[in-house]
Amino acid sequence: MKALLLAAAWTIACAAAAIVAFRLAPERRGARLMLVVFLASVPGFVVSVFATPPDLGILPAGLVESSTRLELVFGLWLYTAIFFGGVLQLYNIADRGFSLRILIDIVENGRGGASAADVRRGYGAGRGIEWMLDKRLQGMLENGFIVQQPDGRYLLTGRGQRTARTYRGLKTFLRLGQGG
Amino acid sequence: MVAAPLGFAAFALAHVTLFHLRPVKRRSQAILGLFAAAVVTVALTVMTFAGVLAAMYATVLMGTAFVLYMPFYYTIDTSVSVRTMLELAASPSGLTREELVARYHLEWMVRRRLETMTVNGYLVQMDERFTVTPRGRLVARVFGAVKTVAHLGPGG
Repeated sequence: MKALLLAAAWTIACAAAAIVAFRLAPERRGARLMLVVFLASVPGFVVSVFATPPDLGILPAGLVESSTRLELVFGLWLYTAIFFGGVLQLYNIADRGFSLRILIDIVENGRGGASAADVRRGYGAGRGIEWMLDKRLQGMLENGFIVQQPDGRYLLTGRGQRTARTYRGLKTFLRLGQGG
Repeated sequence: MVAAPLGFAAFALAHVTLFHLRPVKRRSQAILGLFAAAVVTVALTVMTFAGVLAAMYATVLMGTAFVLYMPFYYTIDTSVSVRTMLELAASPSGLTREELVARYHLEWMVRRRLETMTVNGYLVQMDERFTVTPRGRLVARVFGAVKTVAHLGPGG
């Protein structure tokens, strides 16, 4: 139980530190900055497992694990999983969620709601649906998945080709559609 | 300690096998059903042989594995960036932005998301217009607050 409580406390601290970092350096905000904050906090998490008593001074005997090593392994797993599966996903949805943006646009459109055509036109607070694609293309350029030729055509890099092959195989095996 | 990884592996295997063998229409519900069955089986087994605390640990372990697994699955299923890379992989001479827009069927993509949100209770459709349900409004407010606090842009 100590591992669970420490992981929860460190997750809150990590999320708060990421928010502060986003506000202080808005030009650097992104998943990479969040990852830096998380990695910087891991040594602190390890120290806190060894530096605190097994019952944290509050836990009943039935919820105390005697092996500190087991608490450390379990706690690190929890902290990592909550960060990558929770905090980072929350950020991804808030910053890049396609459906969430549509939902917010419809809310902002007022009580009358919106048609599919209104959604396409007003997507991204009035930027239009093609802006969503431009944002993805920019992200893939920055991360080295694609390059843009002088004639404007986009091409996959070696990294992009390997990634595309992997995902095509997975999509085919799982019988998923073209997606997007 | 072994039951949770084994239980999760059994769930993942069942998910992959089911999706491979037959087309699944309500995918999210199918995944949640399989995962719930796996969690209940593991929790009851561990509780019987090792007690309540061990069962709680096993449930938490499976839950955390699930929150790591699902984003990966949804990236395969719905990611726009992955779709773009697949379109480019199918065109060795590359594609311009306009060609990508034409291949995307952006109208279909928007409609697909609107339908999914309607099925999941975030929107209701009346004639050709979509309005937000109280549940959808709550989600929009919560994430809107996250965007404001974290100084995020319009997103999407």
